[in-house]
Order: sequence, then C-alpha cells, then structure tokens
Amino acid sequence: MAAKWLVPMLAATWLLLPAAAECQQPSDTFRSAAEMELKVKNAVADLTVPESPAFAALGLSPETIIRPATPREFATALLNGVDRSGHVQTGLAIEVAPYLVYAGSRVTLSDYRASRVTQVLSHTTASFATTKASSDEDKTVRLALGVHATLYDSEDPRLDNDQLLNCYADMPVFRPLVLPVSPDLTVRAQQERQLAEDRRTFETSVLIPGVEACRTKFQRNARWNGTSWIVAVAPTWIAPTGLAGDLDGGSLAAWTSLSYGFDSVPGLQNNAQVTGHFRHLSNELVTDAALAGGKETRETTIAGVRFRAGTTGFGLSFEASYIRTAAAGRADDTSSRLAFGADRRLADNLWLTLSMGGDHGVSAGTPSGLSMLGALKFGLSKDPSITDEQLRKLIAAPK
Amino acid sequence: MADIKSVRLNAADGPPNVEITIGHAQFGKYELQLFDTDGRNPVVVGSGLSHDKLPDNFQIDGDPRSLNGRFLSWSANIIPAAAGANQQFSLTVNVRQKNRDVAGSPIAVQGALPGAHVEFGFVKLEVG
Repeated sequence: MAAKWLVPMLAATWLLLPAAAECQQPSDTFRSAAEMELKVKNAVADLTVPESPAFAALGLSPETIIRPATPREFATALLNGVDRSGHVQTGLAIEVAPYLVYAGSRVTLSDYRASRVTQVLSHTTASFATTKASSDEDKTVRLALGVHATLYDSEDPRLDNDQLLNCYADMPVFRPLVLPVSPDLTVRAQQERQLAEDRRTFETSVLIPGVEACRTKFQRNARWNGTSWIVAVAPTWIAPTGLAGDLDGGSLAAWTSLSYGFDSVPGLQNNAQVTGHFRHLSNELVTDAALAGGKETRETTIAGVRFRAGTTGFGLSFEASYIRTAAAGRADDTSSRLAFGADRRLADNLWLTLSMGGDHGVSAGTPSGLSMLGALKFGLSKDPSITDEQLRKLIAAPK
Repeated sequence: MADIKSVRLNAADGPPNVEITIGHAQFGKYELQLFDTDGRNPVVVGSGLSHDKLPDNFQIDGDPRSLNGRFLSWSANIIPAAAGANQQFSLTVNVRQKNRDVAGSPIAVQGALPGAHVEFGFVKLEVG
C-alpha cells in the first residue's frame, strides 16, 4: 500500500524540487544514494557489443594489446603465438583491422565514401587472445578469435562532411624552393636540415592551426543517438595440454545490436534512441560445485531492448531484457529484468536522479523457481546517471 | 644523410604517367612538382584531393629524354578523416610507362597519423 503512494510522491517531488534544491550541495547521504543507484545500474543487462569479442569471450581486459599496422607486423604477432615446441603462448592479445592492414594503402577517401562494402570492411576488426588456467599444475590453454563489424553507422565521420573537407582543401601545401641534391655532401646535409626545418615549421604554423580552425568551424558533431548496426562473433578453443595441436572446439559467442536514432524525425532525431540487442553463447562449459556432477554445458541467450532520451538538462532510460539458460538434464532457466531511470539537472554539477529496477525469474533457492526483486532509488548526484557517462562513451567510441 | 632515390625511365616508352594514392581513407591534398637537374625552379605538374572523384594520375608530357636528371617531388597535407587512436596513413607514388611501373617504382611511405601531417618526398628521374 505504501509503495502505491511512494512512486507518485517521489515523482512529484522530483518535478517540483529543482528550485528549492539549487542551493544544496551533494552530501554523504546523497553520495550514498548515488552509490545505491549505481548498483541498480550495474544490475541492468549490458546491451552493448564488445569492441574486442575475443577478449570478451575469455573474460579478459588485457593491459597490452598488439595492434599490427602492416602485414609483416601481423604475421610476426601471429607467429609469436606459438613457440617452437608447439605450445600456445598465453597472455597474447592482438587486435587488427585486416582489410586496412592488407589493402589500406589502396583505399582512398574517395573509394571509402563511394562504397558501402569498403566502409564495412574498414570497420571490421579481428581480435585474438589466449589465456591459461589459473593454477600452475593445470596446463589448459584457452584461445579465442573474435570478429567485430559495424555494418552501418549513421555517424561515420568520413561521410557527410563536405564542408570540413572543402575547408581542408583550401589550405596550401608545403612547397620547398630547393631540394637537398647538391653534389657537395656538406651543402647537401645543410639543405636536408633546412628542408626538414621548413617542413616542420609549415606543419606547426600553417597546417595544424588551419586544421583546428576548420574543425572549429565545420566539424559535424556526431549525434550520441546515431543509427547503427553492429555484429560480433567469437569462437573459442581449448587445449588441455597447452599444445597448439591439441586445440579442440570450445564455446561460440555471438552479439548484435541494432540502434535507431530517429533520423530525420523532428523532435527526436537529436534526443532519442532505441536499441535492440541479442546475444547467444553456446557450448559454454561451466564448472560449479553446486551443479550435479560439478559442471554442465550451457546455452545462454540474452535479448534486450533499451530506449533512451535526453536533453542537456533531462535524461530518461528504459531497459527490458530477457535471459534464457539451457543445459542438458534440467529445465531451462528464464528470467527477465526491467529498469527505468530518469535524471533532471538542478544546477551545474547537481542532478536529481530517480531509478527503478526489477527482476523476475529463477532463483536457485526457491523450489518454485520464481523470485521477484525490485529497487527504487532516489537521490542527488554530481553527474547524471544516464546522459553523462553512457553517452560520452558512445560519442567517444571510435567509428 | 639519405640516399637520393631514383626511378629509371625508358626513352623509347613515351611520356611517363605519375599516380599518387593517399590511402587508409584519410584526407589528402597533394601537389606533384618537377624540379630542374640542380633541384631548383619547381613546376607543378599535378595536384588533387584524395576525396574527390577526379583521377589522381598525371602524364608528364614531352620527350622522356628531357627529364633525365630532373627531380619529381610530391607534397601532401594528410589529415585524419576520423577521430580515434591508431590512425594510419600511407602515400604511394607510382611512376609508369606503358601502364607498367618503371624500375624504382612504386615509392611508398606508411606510418601512424596522430594528427595533421606533411608528407614530402622526391625521386631523381634517370632516362636510359
């Protein structure tokens, strides 16, 4: 009964409080509320496609990633993956855009802008990672190969930017009057130094300031809510002996996210986005003492949808997700989750935050297999929970 | 001190054609210049942009023998066309006669492109 009145009361307060709250500063109480809210946010299913599927499939966040830029570097990186005795080297993390490595020198900006296939190939990356079991005795090595492709991106900075490119095109090019070709080697060395100095001076005093001026004037601001379609897949293999020759099939993970940014829809095209996400993990071997036999092979499917809308002073988010886990010898587990959040800016660096979340699904401790979890959080924080971090990440993400 | 690179033209194969390719889908504005035999008095023989639809190859008219000992240079403003780390650039110059690369061609440079960059280079034309 209390809950029946709680939500409208808090909602009314949330709408009416701004003027009164402008003078307030975040306190420990507010910080605590924000931390609680963060827990709700963290409980929301991740509906993004990993940039490096191989690392995600192995649960890795490697500190050092090899990013080969030439075919030679790529081949060297792969050859270093196996030692002379055939053992897979562990701790390896490689990320590469194969098309650009092998054909990048022939891909002009004109080619790119004219061909959708070129755009997709240029935005397709492969990742490769290896890891070993945590104990010294266990020689098991896991290996993953991932492919990530952006099939469509309405905010591709290489497209729809003619004004910026025309501005770049108006800048002069470096034109030396003398080449360092004197037959006198001393003179030639001096000519080379002069040419290098003149080139540097042109770059720093003409080109770089010119580029900055063009960007300030004409750079198209990418919408945070662009329309895009991203897919990724990552098979994994396991070598119980650590030898490359003993690699055997492991799991297969696949992700896809389709976002729609209400392109050309007045009132929404800069303020709203809806994202559908689907993920499937097959043949995942899970070891757990609580399971019959200590382990099982699972198939996991996650589907979700998220709606986000926001302005500079207001943010709104709604997410719904569904998770299904299947394994031989037992009934399927299914659960669903709903989450809602809203932010309203009260003053600079002061946001009023409201978030609610709820789960519905299987609980191992309940004979019926059903449980309900709910949460309602309300408080003040220095940063908006929806429009700030998530959107900054989206905007900053390399296209 | 770097050696002076050269390309070898055949006097009997007609006027050479020079193509410049700025790769990795980066913005490029370029000029090709022909210098005299002592590296002075440049003349522009071609210019263009990497994002337009115009061809990026240029024929150097006249008897190839008149090019012997002269220098062909290229200068390009290369600007990252997208944000993000690990941007690369490449510039390739092909000198061809009868649609085939001559000896010493192509000349290619590649590297990281953290920001706007001036790429400049030249070759000596030797005619046999």
